[in-house]
Amino acid sequence: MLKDITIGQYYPSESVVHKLDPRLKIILTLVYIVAIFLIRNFWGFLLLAVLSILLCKVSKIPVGFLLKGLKPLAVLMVITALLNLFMTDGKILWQLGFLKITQEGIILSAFMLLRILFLVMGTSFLTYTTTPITLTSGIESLLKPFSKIGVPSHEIAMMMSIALRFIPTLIEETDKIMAAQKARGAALSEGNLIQRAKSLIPILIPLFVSAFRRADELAIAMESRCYHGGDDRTKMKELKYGKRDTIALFVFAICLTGMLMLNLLGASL
Amino acid sequence: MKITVENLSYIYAPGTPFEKAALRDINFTIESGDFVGLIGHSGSGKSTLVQHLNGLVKPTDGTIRIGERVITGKHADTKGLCFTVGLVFQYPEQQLFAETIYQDIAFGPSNMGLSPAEIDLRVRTAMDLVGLSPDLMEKSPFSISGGQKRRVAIAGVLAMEPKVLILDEPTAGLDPKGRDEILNSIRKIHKQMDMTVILVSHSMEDVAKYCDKLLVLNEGEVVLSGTLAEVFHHADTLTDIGLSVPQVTLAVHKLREKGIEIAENVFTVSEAISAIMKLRG
Ligand SMILES: Nc1ncnc2c1ncn2[C@@H]1O[C@H](COP(=O)(O)OP(=O)(O)OP(=O)(O)O)[C@@H](O)[C@H]1O
Ligand SMILES: [Mg+2]
Repeated sequence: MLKDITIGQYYPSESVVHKLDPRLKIILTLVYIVAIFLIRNFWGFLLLAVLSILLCKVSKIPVGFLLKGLKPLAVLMVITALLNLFMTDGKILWQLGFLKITQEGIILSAFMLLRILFLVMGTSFLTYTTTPITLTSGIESLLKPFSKIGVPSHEIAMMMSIALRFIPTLIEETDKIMAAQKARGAALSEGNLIQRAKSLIPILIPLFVSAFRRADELAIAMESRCYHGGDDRTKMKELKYGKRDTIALFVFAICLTGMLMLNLLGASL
Repeated sequence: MKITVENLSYIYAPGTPFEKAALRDINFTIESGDFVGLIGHSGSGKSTLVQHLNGLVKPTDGTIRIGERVITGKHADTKGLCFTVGLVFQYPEQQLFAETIYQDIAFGPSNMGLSPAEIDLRVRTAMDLVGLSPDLMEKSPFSISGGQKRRVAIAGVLAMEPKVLILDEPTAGLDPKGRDEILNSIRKIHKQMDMTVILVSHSMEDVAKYCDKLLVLNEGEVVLSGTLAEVFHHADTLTDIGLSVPQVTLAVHKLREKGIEIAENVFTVSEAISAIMKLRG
């Protein structure tokens, strides 16, 4: 059920990757996202696949767990692939009415599919190996320099950490409410679109009610502990950039160079 | 309706680091018309177990028989089971959603596909059973007190007229008066409707007062089961797993150790009073 959603979830384990400085991980993830769009041929993706598996081993995340996280995106990926497959002009291989498959279309849709796949997989490594708290404190620290020009770095980080903190809670809550309504015979996945939309009411209303209640309670709890924004707040766990992080940075740089070099083997696109 | 559970095991999130064996090799039988207390520490698996009984959760291993139905992990005959086995969840007031109390209680019966007249009758009966005044019918379920919300939620399950009624900690978070009122209603319903009732609870005092039989869970296993007298006889086992026997029962045990010839099986204050009166002759 909803429990299967693993995107943005933390995967507890004791690995080097888990212990890296979150700031480094965030920056490397951003670079990685850009790098994916620089890949020009399938060798690059092959290397990425090998590296992803290696990263799984190093960070002690089962490959299956990583792949399971892709499931909710399957529909999106299929649609993207189909659109590219049928909508690309070029050398026609097969045609039926306005539908046509071209050689370019096949390559482009495979490319898009791989891009989305590695984009999601790569970025999930960030959340799998970093607790929400460290993640937001990393973001806060990265945004600090921008607070001079009015970016509310602490507030952004606080909002993010609250949002991240409550995702699992809300999922759990939804599961519970769904179970309770099913116990009263609610048919959740039957009937036409309108009936299905209607059957969501018994779930959404209690969910909203409880979300507002939680928000209220949280606000009161924060106020009663004299929370007043980011000024002069200190941290119990300061972020430290260490030798481990420098090594990780070098390894990443080498892999990145290798990936870009593979582009010299020729472009499929 | 007779319920038999054989070798039931359940694992949450198998194959992930969050894997958790919530139930281990559970066996018990509940006879038709029993009023059974299910008791155990927080996290002992009570809620998981009762969700098996109305088909919301499928066993990882083992067999459940409810009346004629057989439920196993592979083959689960659970269609419409939720109407036969009514389950009132923990904090059931959090599931209220309709505009009026009437509509909310009618949700279950209308999912059963009953006629409007039948639904109307059932809603009124259910409200009466839990002690809600008919004036409340057109009110919003969000505008009433916590204890009343809880009654509305219980009425929502009762209106389906299940053969088996399961209540998961129906008194959590209520004041003593609200707690007694709800438990008295449940006892009344048990007698009037001839239902099999399973009451999940933390409180030994409550189950001692209302139930005939007990099922004690600890870390996903059944440690004790039987009549009140049989279970409370094992005061040491109960203490070991962090539960206790009711205070009066303990007091009576102490008195007997001192050589006072008071009746042994005393579980509530009123029983204790009559036992002491008998002693005095
Ligand atoms: N959805 C879930 N996913 C994973 N583990 C769960 C889930 N629900 C319960 N558990 C675990 O299963 C065990 C049994 O939980 P359960 O809710 O059945 O206990 P309980 O006896 O009802 O406790 P309480 O008295 O607090 O309601 C607990 O250790 C709990 O952490
Ligand atoms: Mg529970």
